[in-house]
Amino acid sequence: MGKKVIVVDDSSTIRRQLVETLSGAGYEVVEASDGVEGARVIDANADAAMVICDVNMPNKNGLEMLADIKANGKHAALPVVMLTTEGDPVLVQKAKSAGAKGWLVKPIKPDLLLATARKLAGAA
Amino acid sequence: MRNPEELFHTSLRESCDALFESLPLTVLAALGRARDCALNTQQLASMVGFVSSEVKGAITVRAPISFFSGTYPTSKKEALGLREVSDWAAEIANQLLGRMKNMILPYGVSLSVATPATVYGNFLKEAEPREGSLRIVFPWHDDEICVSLEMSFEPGFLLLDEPASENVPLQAGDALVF
Repeated sequence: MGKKVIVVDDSSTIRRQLVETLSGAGYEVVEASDGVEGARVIDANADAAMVICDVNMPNKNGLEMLADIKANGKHAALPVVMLTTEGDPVLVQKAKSAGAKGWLVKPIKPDLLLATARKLAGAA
Repeated sequence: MRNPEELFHTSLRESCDALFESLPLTVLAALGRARDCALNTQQLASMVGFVSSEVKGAITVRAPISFFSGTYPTSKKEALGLREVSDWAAEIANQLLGRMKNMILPYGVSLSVATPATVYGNFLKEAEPREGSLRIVFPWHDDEICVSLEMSFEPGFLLLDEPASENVPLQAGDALVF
């Protein structure tokens, strides 16, 4: 199995796109559909190499989830990339300050997604 | 100061063109007025609301299921059910509003976006358009794709004439690694 990437998005379409792109490149992908489930999946997958997370989601949004997992010291080194339609520089800076390592604006561009994964998680 | 209605309308038109251009099926240029209701084809309509201190509204994308299933963005389309296609319809509305939001932001308006909702049925019809609303219709085979914008502004609300240079948002497809 390749390195493990956790994808957190309330859209099943986006999750399918991410799974198709990342697993096609050799990564193992684990899915979660909101920030609450995402935090739980991250806790349960200590070997994850990277998280890709939406911003606007029900129950707990991506920035709240990011703040929660970074407050938990055991995930301090886990790279988290936000994947969203949002382009607001205020939100980008907020995510960066909270510990995010990247920001991708939808729609997904597979080449940019894989380049980001390879840079932050390493080759699959 | 700039009239906000004009900016919202222009932003939606340009966002539609850019979004449809990014899809794997060709959507022709916009037509005039929408039909009073859809033909008897199975349709989906996805809606997403937005709000700021000065404006509130929603956009709706209504189209035949064949449009959403044909543009579904994965290579494996054989197992697509209504649930999957509805989710993609919601994501299209979400991405459309995201593009529009990022075009409006430099004029000083930061929209908060709701979670999209989708309805399914035959003979779907939008509410009668209110003053200031916009309806853009694109031909789709023998049917149509209808994109609607409904909004209302706080009295006296005006925008910056020019986009602010210090508040430039990222745009669709952009990527940053910190």
